[in-house]
Amino acid sequence: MPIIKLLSSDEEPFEVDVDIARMSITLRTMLDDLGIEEDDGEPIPVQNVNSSILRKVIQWCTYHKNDPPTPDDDEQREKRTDDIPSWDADFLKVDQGTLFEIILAANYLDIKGLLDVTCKTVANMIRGKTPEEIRKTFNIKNDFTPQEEEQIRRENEWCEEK
Amino acid sequence: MSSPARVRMLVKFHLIRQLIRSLLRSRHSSSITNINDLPDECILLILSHLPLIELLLTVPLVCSRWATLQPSAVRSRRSMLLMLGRNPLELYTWSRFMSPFLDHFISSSDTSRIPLPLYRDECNELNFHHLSSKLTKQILDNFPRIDHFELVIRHLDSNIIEQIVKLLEIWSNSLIHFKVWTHFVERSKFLEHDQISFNISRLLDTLIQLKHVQHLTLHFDNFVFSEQLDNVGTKNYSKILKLKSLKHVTEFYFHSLDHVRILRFSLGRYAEFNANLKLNLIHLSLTIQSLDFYESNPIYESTDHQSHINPLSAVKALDLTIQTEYHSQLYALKLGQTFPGLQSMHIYDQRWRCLNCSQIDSTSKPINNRQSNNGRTLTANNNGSILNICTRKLIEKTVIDYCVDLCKVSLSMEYSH
Repeated sequence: MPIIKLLSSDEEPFEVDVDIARMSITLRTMLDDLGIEEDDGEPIPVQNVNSSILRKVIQWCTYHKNDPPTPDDDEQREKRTDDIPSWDADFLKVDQGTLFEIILAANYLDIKGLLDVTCKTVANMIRGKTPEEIRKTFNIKNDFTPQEEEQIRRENEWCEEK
Repeated sequence: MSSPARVRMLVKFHLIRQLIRSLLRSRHSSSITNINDLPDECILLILSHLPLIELLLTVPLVCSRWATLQPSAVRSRRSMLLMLGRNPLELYTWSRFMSPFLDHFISSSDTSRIPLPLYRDECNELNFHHLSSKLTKQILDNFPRIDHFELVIRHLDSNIIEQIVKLLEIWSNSLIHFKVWTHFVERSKFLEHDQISFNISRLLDTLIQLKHVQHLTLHFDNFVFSEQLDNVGTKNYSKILKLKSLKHVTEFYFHSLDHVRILRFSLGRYAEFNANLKLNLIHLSLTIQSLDFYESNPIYESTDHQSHINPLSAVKALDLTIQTEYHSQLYALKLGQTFPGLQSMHIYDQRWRCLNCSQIDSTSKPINNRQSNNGRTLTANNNGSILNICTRKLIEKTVIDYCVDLCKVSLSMEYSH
C-alpha cells in the first residue's frame, strides 16, 4: 500500500497510508494538486497540527478508514448526539484542551467524521446545563453586566410565553 | 540562471521557509485550553448539535461571544418542535407512554428534539400553551425556512389552529417533514364537538397545501372524545389519503383519531387511498375495538365497487400495533391483499397496554425461522414468552399467500394468553 510522509508542526514525521491521508479533504486536495501518489521523499507539512494531535488524528482515521462516506445533506438539521460509537467515545476521553485541538485539527484537515464526533462530544458537555454550569465546565468568563443579562432574557421572552 | 545565483536563491528560500515554520510553531505552541479559543465556525458547529430550546434560552446567556453567535446558529436551524400545552414535559412523557409507535419513531429519528431544559426544576415553567400571534410572528422571523416541524397540541382551540395554519402556510414550500400529535388529556370545557371537528378539518385542509411533504405523521389521540369524533376521524383521514397534491409523501404514520372508523376506512375501503401517493412506509395503529368492528361489518365481502381493495404495492414496510388476537388470520389476509409489496412488517402486540418501550427495542430471540414458499426467510420474534398461535397464523398467512417479497417479520409481544 502506498505510503506518504506527513510532517507535524513540531516537525515530527509520520508515515501514513495514502488512503488514510486522503480521508482529509485538505490533504486529498494537496495530493491531487501536486500529483503525489506515494512517498517521494519530501514530507507534506501539516503546519497547524502538532505531533501529539496529528498522532490522534491518524489513529482515528486508521480506525475509521473503511467507514462509508458521511452524508452532508442534513447539515441544517437539529442533530443527534446520542449516537457516538463507543470506540469514539473512549478515544475522546481526553482533557478539554486536547479535545479542542482535535476539533481544530479536524476542521483544518477537513475530516468531517472526526469533526462531527468531536463537536457532538462537546455539545453533550453543554446539554442540559444552565449558563452558569456551562461557564464553570468550560472556564468561560461571564462578561455580561446584570443589565445586559436581563436584556438578553427579555429578548428571548417569546420562547417562554405564558 | 547562474549556479551561484541559484544557490543564493535556494538558501534564501530555505531561510524563509524556516522562518515561517518557526512562526507557525510558536503560534501553535500556545495550545488551546478554552472553548472560546476555537474559531467561530467550530463554535457554531458545536452549537448546531444542541436542542433548539437550549439554543434559544441557554446559549445566549453564557457569554457575549455565544450571544453574538446564537442568532446565526438559530437561523440556520431548519427543524422545530413546538409543544403547546400546560406542561410540555408531562405531555411528552405521556405521549411516549401511550404510544410506543411514537416513541419508536422519535427514538429512531432524533432524540435531540426532546427539550432538555424542561427536565430542570428552574425551567419547568416553560410553556407554550398559547400560541399567540406575537409568538407566531417571532417564530416566523426567526425561522423563515423550516423544513421539519413537529407539533404537540393539547387543546385544539381556534386561536391555536389559526396560528398553526399561518405557520404552515408560510412554510408550505419548505416543509418536508410534518408531525402533529394532539392529545386531549385535559378535556376542554370550552370546546364543543362541532368546534373540535371544525378545527381539525381546518388543520387538515392546510396540510393539502404542503406539496413537498415527504414524511407525514398524524397522531390524533382521544380517550375522552373517542365516540364523538367518530365521523370527524373518518372524514378527515379520508381527506388526507385522497390528497392528489401530496404526491411526494413517502412515509405516512397515522394514528387514529378514532380507531374503529379508521380501521373500517383502512381495511374496508382502500380505494380511498390516493394511488399517486408514493408511499413506502405506513404505520397503522389498531385496537381491539377495530377488529370487533371489522367482525361485525364484513365489508371485505361486499360486492360494492367502492369497497374493493386497491392494493398499495408501493408500501414496503408496515409497522402495526394490535391489541387483540381475535380474527387475526382474517386480518392478516386483508393486510396481505392490501400490501402485496411488503418487505418488512413489525408487529407490536400491545394487549393490556403494558408494553414497555425498552422491551420493544430489545432484540428478542428468534423463535421461529422457516422458509416461506418463495424462499424468503420469515423470522418471528417475541420477548421469550409464548408466541400466540393466532398471531403465528396471521404472519404465515400473510407471508405465504400474498406478500411474496416479505423477507422480515418482527413480532414484539408483551403479553400472551
